[in-house]
Amino acid sequence: MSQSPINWVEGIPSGTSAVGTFPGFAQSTWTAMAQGMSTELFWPGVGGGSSLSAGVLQPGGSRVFVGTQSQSSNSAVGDILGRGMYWSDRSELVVYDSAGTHLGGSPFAVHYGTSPSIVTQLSSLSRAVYTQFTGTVVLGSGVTTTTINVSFPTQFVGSGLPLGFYPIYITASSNSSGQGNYQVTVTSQTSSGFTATASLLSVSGTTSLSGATIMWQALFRTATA
Amino acid sequence: MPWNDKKPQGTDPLSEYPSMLTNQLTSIASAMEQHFYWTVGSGRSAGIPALSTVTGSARAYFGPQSQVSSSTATNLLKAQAGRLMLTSDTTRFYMIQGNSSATTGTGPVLLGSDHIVANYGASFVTVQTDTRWLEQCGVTSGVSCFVNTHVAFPSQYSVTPIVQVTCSAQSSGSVAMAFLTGLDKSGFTVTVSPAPTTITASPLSTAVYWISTGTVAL
Repeated sequence: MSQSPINWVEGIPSGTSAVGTFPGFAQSTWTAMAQGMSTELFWPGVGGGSSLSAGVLQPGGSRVFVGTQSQSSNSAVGDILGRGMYWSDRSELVVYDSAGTHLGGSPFAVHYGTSPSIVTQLSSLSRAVYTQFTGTVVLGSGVTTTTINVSFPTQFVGSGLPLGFYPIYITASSNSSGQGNYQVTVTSQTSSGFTATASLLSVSGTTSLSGATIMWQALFRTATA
Repeated sequence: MPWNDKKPQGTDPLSEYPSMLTNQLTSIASAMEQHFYWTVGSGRSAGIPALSTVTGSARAYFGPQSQVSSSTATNLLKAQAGRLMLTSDTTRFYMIQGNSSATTGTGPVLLGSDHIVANYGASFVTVQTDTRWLEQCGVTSGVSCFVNTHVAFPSQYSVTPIVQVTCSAQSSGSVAMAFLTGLDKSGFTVTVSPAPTTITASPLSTAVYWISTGTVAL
């Protein structure tokens, strides 16, 4: 289905048009303009808007570029800024910024919803986002047991958090020869970070180690959207 | 200046025509400049959406989740490809594809929600343009004890990612621990060994579950 074309005439008035036809022509022109504009904008008259709302976009009254990723080009200046493009071959939305192109949305993004404690206890927070932080801690040479303290860049909102309130994942690497493996255990966690203990396991017949890396990953909800 | 589509009348004096036309043109310009360049800027920019700072010129559909499917091209008079919708009851953000082809078909595509996970790495300052966070995961079976097993990422990262590994207990009840012994942008090396305190039997091999988080080009 398509909308009927508006009665838009650009060839009138001409130099031979009668003056008496102008009132009717002018009114039909205003009506045609209002009809055309009111498809996407509020407009007085047929558009259903008042003079105050004239020109305001109706819901859905915007469209982003639609095309393949190869057709995407960001000059990073001028009228391209702030525009969005939907990559039809990848089903993803990108937005154009002066510094480059950002991913605006994707059906492949992860939507968190498996932890009732996080979801329900902070559901009243407006502008809250699920936030994942990752990082590394490099252990020194010859460490057999050590305490690891990690501070998050932003604070999780909450108080009296029990251990396990938000999930933390930790894996330790060994050195290039595979000597010396660490067992890492989370011992406490707060709204701003966590503490873990790394203990060397002499599973490969050595107690010396250099260059081992502790990789951590934490997922929780913040109010810093 | 109010828009008036009832003027001029056939009986109006000619002297009213100039002010009538001026009023209409002013009304059009005022309305168009809500979201578009019109008289502001050069003539070449007239009609281009303005870079809004108060009320944005990109307005999505807004309604309950049940209306998402009714926003497709088959049910409305307007062409729908390229339009967006924010649901009022589920806080989800959709792209309306219309009849365009895509990897996910022709229906609305979920682009985001208030349950989406934002990954910041270890600091807010590491966010880069033209990159995306990519999380990959998998299961590698048959990893033998004390033998390095290499796992290649399906997609190579731009920088060395964060990797988490764990391994499953065998049906015999034997328990093993997984350790990373190597890592770079293209993959990692893992080895497993019997757990020192809970061992009931030495596992010959086990499955390793892994998940990696890092950045790739957009």
